[in-house]
Amino acid sequence: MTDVTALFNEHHASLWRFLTRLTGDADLAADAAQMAFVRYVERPPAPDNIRAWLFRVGRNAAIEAARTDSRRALLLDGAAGRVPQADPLPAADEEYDAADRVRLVHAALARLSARDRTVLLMREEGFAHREIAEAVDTTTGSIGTIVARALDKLAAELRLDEELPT
Amino acid sequence: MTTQSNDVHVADDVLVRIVDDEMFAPEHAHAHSHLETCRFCTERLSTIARRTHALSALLQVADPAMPLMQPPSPSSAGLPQPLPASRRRYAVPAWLKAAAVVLLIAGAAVMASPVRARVLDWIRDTFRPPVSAPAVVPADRASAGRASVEFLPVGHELNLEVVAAEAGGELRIGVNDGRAVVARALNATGAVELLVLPAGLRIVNTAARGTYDISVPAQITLIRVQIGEEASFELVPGQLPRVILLSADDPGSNGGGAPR
Repeated sequence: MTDVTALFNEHHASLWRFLTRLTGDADLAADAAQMAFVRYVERPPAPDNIRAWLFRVGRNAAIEAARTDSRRALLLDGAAGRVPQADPLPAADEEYDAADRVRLVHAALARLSARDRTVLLMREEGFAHREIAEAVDTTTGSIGTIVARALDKLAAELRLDEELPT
Repeated sequence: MTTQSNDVHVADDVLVRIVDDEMFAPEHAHAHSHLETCRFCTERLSTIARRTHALSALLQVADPAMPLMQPPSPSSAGLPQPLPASRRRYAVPAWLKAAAVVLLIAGAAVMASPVRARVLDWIRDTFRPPVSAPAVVPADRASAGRASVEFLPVGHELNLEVVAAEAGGELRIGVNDGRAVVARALNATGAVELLVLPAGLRIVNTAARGTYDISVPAQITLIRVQIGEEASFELVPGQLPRVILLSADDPGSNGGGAPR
């Protein structure tokens, strides 16, 4: 078994970031990330791709935890019609603070399906298309299509085609 | 998608793979030759790359501060550790421990005291066990293939657990007209234990092969079934009766858990 502390130092930040973006809940993400490492301690997987294993276990733990909360379940299940709709981004010359931006980003992600959100966020963490495909149980060749469509959906809502103020 | 003709646009999935440096070898030549002459595809490629970077920037802005966390240690993994299977079967509930302590203290006085009846009543009222008190069918009855148990359920939900999925047989679940849960082991070929738990029933059939017939009263509105280490599932009265295969060694079966 790989040294747990070394593994934690190497992957925890990335896993927690992924789960926070996936669920929109930093506390839940912290619990789920910790659960993934606990599972690793209890029952270490084959050492071929531990990072992908940690992300898969963490994602499952987050989904399981979120299902106990109806509000979070709505977000994870991508029930777009029942999730509170975010206001569109204000015009570039209007003021809006970081909190607004955070809320808009999470609301836009929440309106994606759980699969599309997972694909986008695992890609953001640098996973190969093959690894992402295994995580969401689809083919490697379809990941590009999912990414392109998800970016299309987010583009208008988050104004990805414009230069955002920093 | 890879196309053979240079006039056909490059598909979105290929453009994403170009951005991610994940091109498949066969599509490499066509994509690059087409992009040299097609403004539409070049702009689409630029759009995907721009949106990728913009989303990445937005996500970084939206990320909260990471909490300080420590890795779990092998000795204390951060969660309550399940009891080993050998201990789980004999775990003593807290109410029974408390009752035993009081009985020991009061025992001597009770036996010689004129208030014996009153003390016994007090003990009985104070430490009344759950309606479905733990009970184990004696091994001699079980080995004869006649194990059975009957108890009044607590509440409207029942947890039904089969500890050893590797054992063969069938789990039959139906509805009865009474108020009690009735569980029987039929044609068991080995040791069987039917343990009545506060919220349900556990069938321990490690060495057995047989049929386990469970009937529940109409007041039960939900039955949670857990077979071995498999994922649990739920049954409602509208789904009854059900027959669930427990055989994991029969390739023709449904794997020992999925209801049929």
